[in-house]
Formats: sequence, C-alpha cells, structure tokens
Amino acid sequence: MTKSQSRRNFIKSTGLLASSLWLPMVFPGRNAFALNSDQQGRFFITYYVYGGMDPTLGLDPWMMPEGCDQEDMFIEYKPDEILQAGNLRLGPACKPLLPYADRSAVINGIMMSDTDNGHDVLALYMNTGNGQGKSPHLPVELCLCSESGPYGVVTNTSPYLADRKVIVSNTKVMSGSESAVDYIKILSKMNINPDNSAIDMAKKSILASEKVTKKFYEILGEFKKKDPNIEDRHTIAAAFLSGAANQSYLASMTGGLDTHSGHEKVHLKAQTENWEKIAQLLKFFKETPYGTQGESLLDRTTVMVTTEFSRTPALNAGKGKDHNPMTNSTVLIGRGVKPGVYGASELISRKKSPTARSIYMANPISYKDGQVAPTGDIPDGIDFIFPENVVMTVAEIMGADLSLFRSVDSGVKSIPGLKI
Amino acid sequence: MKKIIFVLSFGVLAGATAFGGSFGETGRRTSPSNDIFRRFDEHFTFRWGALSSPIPETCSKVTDDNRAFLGEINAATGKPVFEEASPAFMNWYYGCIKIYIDAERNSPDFKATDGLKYFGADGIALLKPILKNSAGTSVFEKARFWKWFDLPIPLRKIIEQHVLESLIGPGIVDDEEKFKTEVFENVLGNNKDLTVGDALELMIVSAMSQEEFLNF
Repeated sequence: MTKSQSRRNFIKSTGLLASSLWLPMVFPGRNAFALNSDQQGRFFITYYVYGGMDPTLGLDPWMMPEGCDQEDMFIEYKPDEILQAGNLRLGPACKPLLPYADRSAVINGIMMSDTDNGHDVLALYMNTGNGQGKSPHLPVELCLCSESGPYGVVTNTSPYLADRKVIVSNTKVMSGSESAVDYIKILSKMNINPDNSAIDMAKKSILASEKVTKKFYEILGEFKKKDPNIEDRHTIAAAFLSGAANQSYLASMTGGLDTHSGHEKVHLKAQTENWEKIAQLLKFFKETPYGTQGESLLDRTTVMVTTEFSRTPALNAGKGKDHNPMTNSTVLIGRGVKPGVYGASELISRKKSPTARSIYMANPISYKDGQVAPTGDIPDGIDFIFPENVVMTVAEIMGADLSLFRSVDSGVKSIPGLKI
Repeated sequence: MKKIIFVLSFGVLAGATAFGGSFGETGRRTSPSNDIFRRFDEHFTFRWGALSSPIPETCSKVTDDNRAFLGEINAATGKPVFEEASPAFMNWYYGCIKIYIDAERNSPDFKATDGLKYFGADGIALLKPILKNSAGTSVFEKARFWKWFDLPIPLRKIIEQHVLESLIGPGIVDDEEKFKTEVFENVLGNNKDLTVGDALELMIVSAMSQEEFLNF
C-alpha cells in the first residue's frame, strides 16, 4: 500500500471527504428546532452495568412469598435488611442509592424476551429500545432531538450509533486534552480554506466552540484542585456545565455480575460496588451547583441505570443464577421523574410452573393508570413494560422533539405517571 | 380477554426471534481507521523499544477511547459509525501529534541524526557555525532553545521547506511559497521569544492539520 492510498483510505474510512453540511451536526439539536425557554439545561446519562444484575438484591427486593421456598427463589438476606425509603424498597446492594431515593423512580417488571438472547443483544435492546440494531443508544438519539452541545455524547466507551450522525467524545481523551486550548490558538492563526471540506469544517467548529472548550477546561481545572484524580463523573459534569454536551453514555464493565456459579455473596458484592460508583456520580452532581437559583447539577440531570437482564430466581446446580430476560429493572434518578416504584415482577413457584422450575417474570401493567395487573386472565388494554416503553418515557422526560425521535415507533406508550 | 402467563404476546416472541438473528450481524470490527496510526508511524520514525516512555494506546491503536470517532465501520451498514471529522477527532489528533513529537525528539535515533529530517543537510551546515558555542550534544539539542527569529531568514526558509517536504512531500502542494507563508508563518506569528523547538512543533502541527496531509 502506498502512502497516498493509505491516506486516502483513512479519509474514506472516516468519511472526511464527504462534503455534506457539517454545522448542523455540530449543534444538531439546536439547529433541529427552536428550543423553548424552559428547555435550557436538561442533561441525560445512561449508566449501563454489564453482566445482568440480580434485581432481587437491589431494585426489586423480595421476601419469600407464601407457598415458596429457597428452591423457588434464593434470597440471601433477611426481610429486615430490605431498605425502606418513602415509597421505595431497596435490596441491600442498593444501599448506596438510599440518599437519592426521594428522587428515584424504579421500574420493575420490564419484559425483555421469553428466550435468552445473550448479553449483547439484550443490552442493546435495553439501551436503545430496539432489539434489531435499528436504534442507537438512547443518549445518541436524544443528542439529535433535544438540547445538545458541540462535543455531542460524552462517553467512556463506544456507544452504538446505528445510522445516526452524532459527535462522540471520550471522557479520557477530553480530560487529557487540555492542549485543545492550545490547538485553538494554532488554528485561529491559520487561514482556513473556504471550500468547506470536512476537515476545514471541523477546524471551524473547534474555533466556534472555543468559548465552550475554554470553559470546559476551566471547570475541569477547578474540579482538579479539589480532587486531582479526575474520573468520568468530573469530566461529564464539566461537559454539562460548560455547554460542551448534554448527553452521556457510561458503561461499567467491571464484571463479577454474571454469576452462573457461586452466586451467593459474590454477586451482591459486585452489584454493591456498582451502586457505590453510581452513588459517587450522584453525590458529585448533587454537590455541584448549577446556575444561580440554588439548583444542583443533579436537579438538571436524569440518570438512567440499566443492565441487560435479571437473573433466574433459584440457584442452579453450580449454585449460580442464570440469565433471565423475562423481567428486568431500571431506575431513573433526578430531574423530571416522580419518585416511586412502577411495574412489578412475579414469582411462579416450581409447583405451579409447567416446567417444574420456578419462574421470575414481569407483570403487565395498565397503561391507563400504571396499575400492575395480575397474571392470568386479564382485560385488553394492558401490556408489559418493554424497553421501548422505558425509552419513550425518557424521551418525554427529556423534552425530546418526538417528531424527530426515531428510536421507537411514535405509538409506543410511556409509563403512566412517571414523568413529572 | 387474553391469557398472559406462559402465553406471551406474539410481539414478544416475534421480537425475540427477530432481534436474536439480525443484530448478530451488526457486531463491530476493526476498520481501516488503523490508517491514521500508520501515518504516525510513517512520519515519526523512531524505534518504539528505545522510547523512555511508551506511546499511549489511544494514539497507537483503535481502542474504546477512540473507536467511535476514528471511522470504525459498522458491518450492518458498511459505513463508518462516525462519518465526519469532528472537534473530538481533531482534538484527539492534536494531542497525539504532540505526544509523537515529544517521543521523536527524545528518541536516540532522532538525536543521532541531528534532526536531519527537519533541518536537512543544508540547514545543518548553516546551523553548525551559528551554534558552535551552544550547549548540547546534537545539532537539534543545540538549536532547540535558540530563538527562531534570531536565525537568518534564508535558514528559516530552508527549515520550513524541509518540514513541508518531510510531512506532505515535495510537489504535493500547488504553491509551496504560499503554503509556507499562509500556514507556517501565520502560525509562527512574530513572537520574538519563540524557540526553534517551539517553531518546529507549531509547523509540524499545522502541516499535519492540513487537508493536503490527510488527503494525499
């Protein structure tokens, strides 16, 4: 391969030769539609935890139902270890979430599938609302149809973009690129060709985002003075406060949750550690002031914690719990959510189960009033909560322009009563 | 009325089958975005094993940190997952250029050649008498902290030409004199305290930020 071919291939691979209009991508939301005055300062974070969290240890704690025993559902805590905070009941793994219970909406009983499609497919479904790869991770879609900034979606990984043209900025690269300010100085002295090539447009967009970039590093510098160990939460907060971004996608890939064997204590420990990290982010956002009206950054931010599926209720032969896509739980914390528990799951004992194995599965709800419906014969007009319903609920909370929101069909219902 | 338990709605069953099969084909794979790293390798010629500190992974291979904006191909669509150069890409690119510049300057290979690629043999011949009383073991080290604007104009022009040729190649830019004026000299400005080391860095960054560097 010659040098010139090599260079061209790079350009082709990145699409740098494309001469499409670029600026609408720099500020996609702001160009897409006029914002209402009450739409300033809405931020969204998806915090995805890989591995499949057992909600019975966290968001959906259980006491042993009458007529069931440990072989129907393995519960490794006593009833008095279930934490009560307002309307919320949290399992021991969720203890770190307790200070934020008054601004948390737990959604239990999310039906993913009746068969195990594996981690990747179900993680995609949960985080996009579409299981066929047609929709991007939710922050990406929101970046296109709600408020957004020139740094697009701030992430610690590579979010799934589907076919959406959205800028993605990495937390590590952003926090380690103080030199970006120097680059602005260099670019500002260059004659940038007026031919609007993609590279020139990128340079222009850097210059156009000069104020935001400087502000971002100023704020990050302030955070560094208080804590020299800059973590993702600092970078995201600085991005939100500076106007660099309004959406973030974070993935926790620390492992320890996919406990097909040796579940007891091991999963609880790993899940607790994840909630501790999430609580660190929430604490930092709560302690970080926003604006001049006495608000915190958390007052302006909606955080959604996701995982790909729950786990089977009873221990298997290896004392583990396997993938259970028949129910799942998530929690929305912060701006725009009415605290409480939405949806529910049900345990069907092995005596009543046609497979002679206990089943832990989602209950349907009424989409008129959100009431959990019993299983068995039920009237029309109720249905399960699917990931697409959660996604639509978030889109409404975030004030997305639903005429531009393509992640789910426009007819998909949101969960009643959750959005303030 | 409908029976929910164990007779899950058709939508669930159909959805499960469909997304189970279709998304399997949309997994990510490494793309020709590796080309950008070959460009770094081609230009900054030093032995990696001789570096005192390694080049970070984000500047040497496709990682989760840079994957999205480096144009990785989505196998489902056959298109890059991110299709345009962005501020994120350019800021990442600039940060990496600076890292490679530092690595090159501190490499034994570069020191051993007196910075030949940027100064050229003709430049070194002119520099040696100017720097004869300066501290340093190589011409580059001696010149590094010398004031750029204290060098004679013809020597500065020679160095500009070698930087241009080492990065973009001879005969690629239509009007080299215009390029040197509009890119290099504009960026260097008229800061009298500018050192030769700083000037070289600014010229390398500005040349590598040009369409001509990335396109040809």
